[in-house]
Amino acid sequence: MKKLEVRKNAYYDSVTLMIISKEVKKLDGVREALVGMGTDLNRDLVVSTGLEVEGFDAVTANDFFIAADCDSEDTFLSVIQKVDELLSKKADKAKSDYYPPTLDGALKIDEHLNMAVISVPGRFAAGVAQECLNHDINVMLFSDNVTVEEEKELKEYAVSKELLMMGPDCGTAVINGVPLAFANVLRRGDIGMACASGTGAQEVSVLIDQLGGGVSQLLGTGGRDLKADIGGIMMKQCLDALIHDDATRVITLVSKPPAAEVMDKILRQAADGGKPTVVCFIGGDPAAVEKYGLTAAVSLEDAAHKAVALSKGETPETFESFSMGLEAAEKMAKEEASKMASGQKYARGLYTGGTVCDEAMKLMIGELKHIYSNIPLSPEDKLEDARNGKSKEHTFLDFGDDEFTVGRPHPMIDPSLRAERVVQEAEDREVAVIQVDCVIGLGSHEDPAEELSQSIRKAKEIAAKDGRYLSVVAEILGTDADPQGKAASGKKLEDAGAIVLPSNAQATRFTQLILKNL
Amino acid sequence: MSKVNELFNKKLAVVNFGIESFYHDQVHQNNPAVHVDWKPVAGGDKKVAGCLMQLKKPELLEKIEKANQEALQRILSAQPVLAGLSTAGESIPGMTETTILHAGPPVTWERMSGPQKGAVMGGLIYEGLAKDLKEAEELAASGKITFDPCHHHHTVGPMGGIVTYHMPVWRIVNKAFDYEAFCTLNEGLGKVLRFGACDQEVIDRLNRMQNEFYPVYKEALELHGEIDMKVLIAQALQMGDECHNRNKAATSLLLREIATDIYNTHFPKEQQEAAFRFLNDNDHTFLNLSMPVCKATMDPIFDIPYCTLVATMSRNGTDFGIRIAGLGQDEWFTAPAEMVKGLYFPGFSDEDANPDLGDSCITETTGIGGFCMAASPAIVQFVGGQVQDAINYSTQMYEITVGEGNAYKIPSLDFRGSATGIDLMKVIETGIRPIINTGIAHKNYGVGQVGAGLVHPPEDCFKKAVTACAEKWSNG
Amino acid sequence: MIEAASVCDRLLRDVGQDTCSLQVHSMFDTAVNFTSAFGIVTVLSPGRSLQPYAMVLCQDFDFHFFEYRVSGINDAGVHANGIQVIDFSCASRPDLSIEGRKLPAYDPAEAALGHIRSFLKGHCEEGLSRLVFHRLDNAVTGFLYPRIEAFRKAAAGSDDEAFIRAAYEISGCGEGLTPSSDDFLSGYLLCAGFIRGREVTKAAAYMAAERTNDISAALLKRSGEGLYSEDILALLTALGSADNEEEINRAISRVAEFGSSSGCDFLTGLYFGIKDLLVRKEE
Repeated sequence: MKKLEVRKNAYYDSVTLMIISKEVKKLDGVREALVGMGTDLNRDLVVSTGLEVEGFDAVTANDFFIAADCDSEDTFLSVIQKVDELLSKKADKAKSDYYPPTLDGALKIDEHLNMAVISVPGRFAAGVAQECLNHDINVMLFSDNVTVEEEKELKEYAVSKELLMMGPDCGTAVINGVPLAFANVLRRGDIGMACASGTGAQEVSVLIDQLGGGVSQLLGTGGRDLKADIGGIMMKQCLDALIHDDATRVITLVSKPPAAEVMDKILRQAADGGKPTVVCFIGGDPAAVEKYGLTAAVSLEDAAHKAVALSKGETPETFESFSMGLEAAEKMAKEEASKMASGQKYARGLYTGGTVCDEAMKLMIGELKHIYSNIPLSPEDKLEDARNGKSKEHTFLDFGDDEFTVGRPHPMIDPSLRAERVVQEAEDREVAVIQVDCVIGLGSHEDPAEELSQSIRKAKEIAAKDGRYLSVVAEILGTDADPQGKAASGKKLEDAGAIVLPSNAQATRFTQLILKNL
Repeated sequence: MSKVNELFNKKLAVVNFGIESFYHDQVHQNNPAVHVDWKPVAGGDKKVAGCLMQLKKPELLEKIEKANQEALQRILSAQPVLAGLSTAGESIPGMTETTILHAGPPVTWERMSGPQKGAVMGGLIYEGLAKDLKEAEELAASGKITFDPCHHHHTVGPMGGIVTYHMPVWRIVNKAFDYEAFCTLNEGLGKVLRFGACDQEVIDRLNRMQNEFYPVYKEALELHGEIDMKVLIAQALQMGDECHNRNKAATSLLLREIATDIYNTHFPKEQQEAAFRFLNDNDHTFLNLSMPVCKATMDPIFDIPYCTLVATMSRNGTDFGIRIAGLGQDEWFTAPAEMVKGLYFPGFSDEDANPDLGDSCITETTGIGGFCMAASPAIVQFVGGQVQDAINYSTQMYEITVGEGNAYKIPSLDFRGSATGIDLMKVIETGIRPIINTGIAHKNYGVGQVGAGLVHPPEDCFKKAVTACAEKWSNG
Repeated sequence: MIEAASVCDRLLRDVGQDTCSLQVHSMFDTAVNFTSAFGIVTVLSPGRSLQPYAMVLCQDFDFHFFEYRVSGINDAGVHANGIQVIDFSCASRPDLSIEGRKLPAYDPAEAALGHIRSFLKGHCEEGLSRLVFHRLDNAVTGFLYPRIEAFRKAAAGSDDEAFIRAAYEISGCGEGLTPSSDDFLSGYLLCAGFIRGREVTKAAAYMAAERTNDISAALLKRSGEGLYSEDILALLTALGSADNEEEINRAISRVAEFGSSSGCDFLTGLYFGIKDLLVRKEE
């Protein structure tokens, strides 16, 4: 039987039409079919192929038609169904590409929205967040420059509605296995994380992944949450959720050391929760944690090791060595040091991730006394005009700090400023080691290792021309499931002559070993 | 189980504001996500945005939403009828022989725009209070004349909107709320008082309207009884009117109603014929009926506490003013009226134009006029543009209104009810301002209409209003 | 605001300073068509080849933006709801007119045929390119073959009226958004214009445009006037210099990539145009 279907004034792109034409002809029971625009000649064509049916006269040049010779009504119905399916594929896509102007508009498109990712300029961020909370939508607020008052008000309101209010300045979260903003593609598992630092959370989570563990939820609180002003409102909320989450068997907390009264409150809550808990207060005193019966970690890497051990039902042991073994590392460091010229004695850390930069300084400071930085451990080591000025002795820079991000994207999105600095540091005759992080994953630059490896090559050339040898120590912060790939990124850096270590802590310890051998 | 734990068991659906790549990351992972084309509220005016935020706090927002729904119900349930005619002095509350009502928010003689001044002077001569323009100007400036907005007296007036004591007025009653509204008779096009013309021709016409035509209409309507205006406007919208700048169909429908009644009045045939012709020859006759219909529809939403709907939009050629239902009738939020963008009659240009003028945008306030442009393809040529533009304008207005009309519907939008109930908060939030189509008056008095086009209320009106709402309501 | 990388020079000269209103006609993933006083105006995503009366943007843009917005164009840019959204100030303004360009002369013309033919050999599953190989084994080619033969005959003859009529007889036939025969005509008219003059091809194209849909009609009209996409002009240049085989093949595949079968249909038209009007003429 001959059948006809017409869509008035409908234009579909040629590729779609061709797909429809092919798919329709493939259907069982379709003997012949023509799909096209209803021009005069196409109509003649339909007549000449014997597909003419009643109603065809009304088809115009701007109408899309399907004429088919089928063995039954049902077959034609399946033709229509197929066409609709192919066309609605496009329509759905178009719908999701439509950007509504307001949250109300977004809710009209999808009424089930339950998580907002907000990265608008800081002075507008609280308003947007408040509106989302009003609509019972959890918030992840990446924007910074939100006032303490605004933060407190938002968080108190969120708690009253039992919602998450992660941030401000929260760049990393993984909820139900979905990475948000700057996060990595992780194996799912039973370790629940609550973190007050972005790259700290990323570092621990990718190391858990690397050690064969998995993450149930990775919740962020924003860097200020555990300060006295905010009082850990969101950390408490997150901890509570993890304690009550059946999929979470081990809890891991990551933060800079909190204000004393906040620390007591949080640790007490964690202890009362009854789940094995690893606490990493970067640079904090382990005893302060252990007295609550909780497991203290000495580094981000150590936190990952301990969490995975607990998750596997093993006894956590402190990890302060090298994956390759201490001996091998020492040998390698000696080799590096032996190639250097006299006068090369300082380390320069150039970081895109703030927390890992902070951790590196804390792990290293003991023997060095002073590490100059734009985010110094003590105020007298503050490096003025870090962006345009020169580094001094041992210097570690956080390129994600305000000073470097004025008028430009975060270095994890645009790492070019840091890459330039790698070359610039090579000019300094006193530099022995350049230590870098390379953060991959969602949200990050599509291939940060590429630009960094070019800079490393240039830096090494500069040093070589001058009769020096420059050591570059790096860590890839990411997983192999990330779009950029941890192995692929690491290979790029290694090919450029960098020594790539499995964690920030190991990279830092390796730098220490080199310095010791000078 | 806490809400956060419930979230852990749901499919995550992300809404993204800001960095677009975060949205694309979600899409690439096949997670449901919507990106919001976010722009700062109120163009980044932090203070205004803060006010909006205060209003959006849940407790207050609940009250506001309830109030706005109540207001919408009142607008939709209006039953405006044409009940008859009288003179302004007989029926308009507070009218005296030395009162002159004008369009727009309150304005002093000194600040009045050219066309409105011209209309005032014409009105004084018409009333016999001055014998020529010079005398009229002196009298107007003397302080002996009371100037007051039409809107404060159950009245609306197109363009200059001048109403004086002896002028005949249509009387509209919103029967659902027993609320009256008045408007003068439309004089026609060309050199007319409302555009600031005030020579003898204008005065003569006003006199004929009062002495010759008014008695005929009054008696005819008494014979006919009240006319349901809502039905009439709804029909006109199906016939290509939007009832602000195009009133051809509605005028014809009105005449169909009262033609036989005019014939049945006791006046001589010549007078009947002249009266009939006066209505029939003027396509804009019905404007002076659609306006008071809208006025009678909107005023009942005043004084609903916490209502953020715009109850009045109006301009006097100097200022644009809006009033917010929940803040009451006494508070105007004004800003300098903008210039109309549109087409000029041959021989005129934008240099001749007066800023936006008249009470007629009460039609847009009610959801017709510019909001129904899609119903009126013919208007598009008049204001400059194409049919699709009209459809786009009407469609965009749904972003800033709380509801849709139940009687006023737009054929080209599949008979969707017109966007109704402008919400101040949505205007601030989206940055989309109401669209008004309107005539353009010459900036000097005595010249008249020089074109027509499109205009918006100034942003500042809304900013001031939202600030006032926040100040008044958020401290409770 | 988004910058346009390139804008058709003719479009800019046509619209001038005064704003001309645009109505969305049809929307695709990488293009949006507007109707305007100057016919169809197209906005293309980055990477697309510039077409007559079109512009190519510097970055991706969600064309649904234009829905419900009141848009217009002048020689400074495209605006929507009174706000400028596309800026022309940094855009190049290629002249897409074929005037002043040359068809390959006899020897290269022979070579050009060879190149096109061998390319189409691997790509003749869809559309009219089967005709090059005398394969009339699907409904469309079988139906069109006698008409195309008649058209080619008329094209070789001297009667302009007959040529115009024959073009009309084949327009608007085949699958796809732009029916195959229209793409064929577009390619054939390119050659015919050099022999008969653009006035005649314009008349033929305008006539033929009557019988097809809006989008295809716009393509035909521009072709008749001698306006072609950058890719097609580049192909013409490449074909003129027979020595660079690689470049010619690259140019051919760029043209072939247009649409689903449209590019190949165009090449088929071009093939027969060169064959009928150039090679034979030299003989």
